[in-house]
Amino acid sequence: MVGCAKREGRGKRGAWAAPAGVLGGRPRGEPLCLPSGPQRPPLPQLMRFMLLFSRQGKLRLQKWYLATSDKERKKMVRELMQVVLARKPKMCSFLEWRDLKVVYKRYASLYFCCAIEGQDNELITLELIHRYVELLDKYFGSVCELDIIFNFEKAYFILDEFLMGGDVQDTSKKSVLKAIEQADLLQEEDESPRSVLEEMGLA
Amino acid sequence: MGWSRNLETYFGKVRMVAPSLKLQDLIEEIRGAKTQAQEREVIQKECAHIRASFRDGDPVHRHRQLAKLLYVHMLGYPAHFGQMECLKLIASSRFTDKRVGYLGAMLLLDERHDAHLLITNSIKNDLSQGIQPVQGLALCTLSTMGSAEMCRDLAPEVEKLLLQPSPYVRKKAILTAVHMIRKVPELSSVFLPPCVHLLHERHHGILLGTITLITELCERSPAALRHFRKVVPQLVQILRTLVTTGYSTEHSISGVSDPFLQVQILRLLRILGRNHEESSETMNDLLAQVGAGRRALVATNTDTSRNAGNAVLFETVLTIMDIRSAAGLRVLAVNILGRFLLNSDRNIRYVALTSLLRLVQSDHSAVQRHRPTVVDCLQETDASLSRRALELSLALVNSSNVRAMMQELQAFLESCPPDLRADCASGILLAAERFAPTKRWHIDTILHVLTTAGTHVRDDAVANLTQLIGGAQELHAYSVRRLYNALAEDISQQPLVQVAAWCIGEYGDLLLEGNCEEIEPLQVDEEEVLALLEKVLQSHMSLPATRGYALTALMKLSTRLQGDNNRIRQVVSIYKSCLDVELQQRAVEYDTLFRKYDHMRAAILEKMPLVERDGPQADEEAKESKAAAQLSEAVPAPTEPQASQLLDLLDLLDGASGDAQHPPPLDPSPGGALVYLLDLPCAPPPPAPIPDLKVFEREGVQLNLSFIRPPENPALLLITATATNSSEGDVTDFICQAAVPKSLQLQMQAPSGNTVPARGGLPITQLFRILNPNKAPVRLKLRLTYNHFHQSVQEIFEVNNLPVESWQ
Repeated sequence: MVGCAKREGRGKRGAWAAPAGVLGGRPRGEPLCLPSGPQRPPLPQLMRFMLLFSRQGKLRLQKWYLATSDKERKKMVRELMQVVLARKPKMCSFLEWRDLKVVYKRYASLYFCCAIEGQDNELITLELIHRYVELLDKYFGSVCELDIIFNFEKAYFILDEFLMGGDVQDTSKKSVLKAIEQADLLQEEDESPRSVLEEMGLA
Repeated sequence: MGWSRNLETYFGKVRMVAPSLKLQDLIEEIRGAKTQAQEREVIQKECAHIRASFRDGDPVHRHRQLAKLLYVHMLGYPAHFGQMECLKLIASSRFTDKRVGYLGAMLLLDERHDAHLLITNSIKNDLSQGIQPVQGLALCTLSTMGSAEMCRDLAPEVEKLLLQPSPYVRKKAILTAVHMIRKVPELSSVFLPPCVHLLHERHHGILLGTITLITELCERSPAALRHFRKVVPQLVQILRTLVTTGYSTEHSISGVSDPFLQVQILRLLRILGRNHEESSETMNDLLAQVGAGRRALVATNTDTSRNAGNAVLFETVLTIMDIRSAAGLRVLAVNILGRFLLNSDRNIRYVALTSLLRLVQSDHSAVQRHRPTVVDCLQETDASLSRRALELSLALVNSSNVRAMMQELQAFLESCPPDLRADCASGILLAAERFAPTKRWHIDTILHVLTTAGTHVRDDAVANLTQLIGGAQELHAYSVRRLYNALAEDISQQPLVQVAAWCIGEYGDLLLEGNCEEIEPLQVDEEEVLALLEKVLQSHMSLPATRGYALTALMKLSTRLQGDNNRIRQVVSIYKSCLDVELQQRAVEYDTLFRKYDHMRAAILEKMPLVERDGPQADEEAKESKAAAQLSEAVPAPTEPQASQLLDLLDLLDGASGDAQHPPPLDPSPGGALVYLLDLPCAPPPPAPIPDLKVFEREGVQLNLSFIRPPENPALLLITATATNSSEGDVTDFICQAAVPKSLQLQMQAPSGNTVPARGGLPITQLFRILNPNKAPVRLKLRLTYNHFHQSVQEIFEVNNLPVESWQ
């Protein structure tokens, strides 16, 4: 019988009051407990944002799926970076931050971080992150942080072919990469010789 | 000087004419900056160029300028002046421009800016112009930053695209619809109809999007939920096909067919099957198949850390637990979680612990089977895992495993990280209180906790222990010896010191007697005892409350010990001038006892009677002397009623009339404060008892409610629910839940158990505390679930006929 006194009897997810927990409800830091007893319905799922940042705390990509002000974004990014960078290597990939679940994984010098609400299955989010890394890897050929720094807009384009509104669009790597390829081709067709002359100021 | 200035101007002019920096070159330059200040300088210079370029309206390089701006924006620099450029780029016909323009819109524009509405028209055009990558860009942008207004405007376009032949555009349109519904729930009526048809698609992207869309619709509207229940068989079929034959290897990860799609289907099934027998039944077989089938896969695979497969398995478990699944299926689910606990992957252990925590109440016996594995998880190096393991372990303690579990938990307490100490300590104490097999074991356990983690225990631990020891008369000698030994070793753990001091004071005579079969005989000298208490008094580690305990203990020893009391009198005398007011007052009172009231001293310092801890009233037959001794323990008063008794006393001193209880008139006598200590309020007259109420009966299982209203707190109603069983079959897994109208507050304590044996076996009792400050009529809605005669019973009913005395 466990329950957090803070959440007792609030009746938000149903009117039934659960008996007080064995641990007598002294919430500290990371919430000790989760609502127990009869299952609550899964909350509407939403990925709030995805971040990529380096070990030195430099942001390399930020994709926000919920409208947030610039000021608020900066604050959240700063805070979350601090929390994630403080994690030791042997700790698990999931943590609870504010009212969100954060799933993160480190690939070489880059941290990939997703903040999710309403998602009970953290394992599939890990799979999602891994798929994105694989896509980057296929596209850049053994991707490293420098690739993402110098081609940040490409990283965004690839992400936007994989996820939309925080949900997976296509589960086939081949399909996603083909779409990027086609878009890149279309971009190249645009670049006619004319623009080179323009560059030199000769047109 | 003039020369260098000319150079500057010359080079400056040249710079203006030269082509603008390429994106990659800028990035190179920024990274080359050695200091923050240098970086800022480079960026500010470049931004000036970009601004100028925007002003000049250069269409050729606009996309490059914006890209550079987006880069510096990511580094944290302002980029608002690029917003309008996004619009221009989006409106351009070049794909390069659109690509960067839309990216800029997603990064720089959001619904807070009025400018965002201006792209609505461009999006509308791009959606209908038929070049797929362009349509894709438009849809993606709409789903990322589309405001409610934009969504309303563009819903018809998106709806059209749902019917397009190209799967590329359709899958994106579906997910855009998801976003639109999130922003404008009324649009559900537009996007609901196409769903059922879309489910027949074979394209994974479209299927996935459709299922996501249906999930979103169902989560937001009960009507949609009911509507989509009819697709449960179809979903089951899709999933079954995925699991058995697999649609295509293109979508597989580590041999698992499209785990993303599987998980999404399972999630939708979960939502559709909740509280719905029929749907749940349709899913049962499939879930069993997925659950068991995956098990086989995991078993044969040497590398069990396949996250994709485990993700699907986990979602299956979550679904099983949430729908009305068969008992066997639930056990399967718990067993899968149990095996997750053995997985070498930390993440999998984490989700297993988290889920088991949610299930421990409803599926207690199934989770119990995995207790040894859970206990092993206490050794986890990751704090979030060990924390969950701790909670789960505590929840699994019951009367049959309490000894073994406490051993493990106490071992854990000794080595656990500091932030878990407090919770571990209070958990152990609470569990000990509920399941202690013997009083001696209980005392030993508390003692051990106090010595190991004394500083982390909760405030009422001291009161609980003194209460416990006080009530176990046969263990007084044992307790006082053990406490004395513990105190002699270490006087820094305050709760331990307090309890030890109290005990030594109360049972000092037993300590000196020297014979106790349970411990090695210890010859304790009177002087040693006094010296130890004095040490506590003088130690800078002792809190004021602790010193209070020590002083009082010394005082009590004056009647327990054989020797003369000079030493004690001396100490008491010293503290008469102590700076701490509380100590000073005590010392003065005790000193007065010695000097003027010595004939009463023995009576006053007699052994304390057992105090009722949870009862609302104190001893009614408290003799004057005993009650005085009780009152001199004012500081450790653990319970509300005692404190309020003290308040009554203060009322007396102030001359106020207090509440309904009428204390006896005071004899005015000299001695000031001491007299008032001796004059006691008599116990308040017990209120007329409220009649019990039988609220439920079924096949010999009865639930009775009994009521108590503590007189000093008229807003509080204590209800004890008692479940009895006069039938021939046991009642197991009994859970009672209650709800009250909003004007009341309900707090439930843990029940005494969840089994009522047949033929009048030990009933289950559970205490409800209801706060009713407005004296509203109390109504209860109760929900009982239990197993009886191999059937699971669920009863929900209202109780409206509570006796009027319970709330008026």
